[in-house]
Amino acid sequence: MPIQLRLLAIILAVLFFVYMVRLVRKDKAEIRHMLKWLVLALIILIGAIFPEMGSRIAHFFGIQTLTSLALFILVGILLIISLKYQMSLISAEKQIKNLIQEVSLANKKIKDLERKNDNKE
Amino acid sequence: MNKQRILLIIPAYNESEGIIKVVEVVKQYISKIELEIDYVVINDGSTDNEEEVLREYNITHIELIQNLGIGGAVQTGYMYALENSYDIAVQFDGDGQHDIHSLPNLIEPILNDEADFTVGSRFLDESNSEFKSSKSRQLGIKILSSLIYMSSKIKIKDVTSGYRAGNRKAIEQFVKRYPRQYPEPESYMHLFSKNIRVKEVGVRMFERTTGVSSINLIKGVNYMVSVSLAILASSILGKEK
Repeated sequence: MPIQLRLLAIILAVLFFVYMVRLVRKDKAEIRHMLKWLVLALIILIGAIFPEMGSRIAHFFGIQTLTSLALFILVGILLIISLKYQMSLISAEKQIKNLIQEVSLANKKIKDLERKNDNKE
Repeated sequence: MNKQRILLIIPAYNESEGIIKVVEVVKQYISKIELEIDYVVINDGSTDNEEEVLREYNITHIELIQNLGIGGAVQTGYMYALENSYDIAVQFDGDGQHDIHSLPNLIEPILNDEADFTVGSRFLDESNSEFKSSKSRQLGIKILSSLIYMSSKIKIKDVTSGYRAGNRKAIEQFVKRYPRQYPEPESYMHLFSKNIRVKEVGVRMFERTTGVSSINLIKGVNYMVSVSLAILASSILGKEK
């Protein structure tokens, strides 16, 4: 892995880390949301600081360079994370649908009761 | 036989022009017939003045606080039916496509306990419907119908029909699960998996007078692919013992 790429990866990981800490401090996110991104930053950092270990892993999988391995793994992780996000989006959508239905049904009940009361008076 | 309480679920999205007429016909019919029938219009978060019209004419309705699409709207009707313990729920389109006079045919098998769920069909011989939809749609319906037949061995000809009726068992199932988009064909798979008996009966339908179909030609391909995949995916679920 060329030294420029290693430096770039370290900078990226540090920026990532700083950004996440800021998000948590500003109450825009909780640590539990950021955990997987932290792990990702950590992997990038370790890979950049100890490239020999990474290269050995790459060769073990029959991949020529650590750069390719890093790209490959990153793409894989991002795919899984985006699928997980869609899942949570879908379940949020379902919850919202259910809320809309329940609120609308409750609204109808309230209106019916109001009308009943008006008729009594 | 004790009297069964029936609820007509009438979903309507931006139907302010047509809905009055549809409900008027329904009301007239209800007053003439011996069955105990109520109706409820589901205003699916319409952006026209449908809500005003419904209030002005004192039409029983539920206003969804946001648009949910046909599946979500109809499901709300089923929730309302369950909450108010109706015995039978009937889906009836708010655009004047369905003939209310076919209602006895539709609910008879349920009243006689021959089926838990019935589908109003344009394509059975007993149907006196002159309106049969366009050729391309008929082809699409045929394909979906044979897809359902292949995966479940149950034949339903008019798979996209929105004129349907179900008993308590079907109502409960649809409250639990009802597809939000393009619901009809896929919903049969869910019914079959719960061993709910489905029967197709001939009804009469008209060409819509107002509004536009939720499926236009551009969306047609998307519709076919999505629904086919949904049917295949559901068929993998298998029957519950």
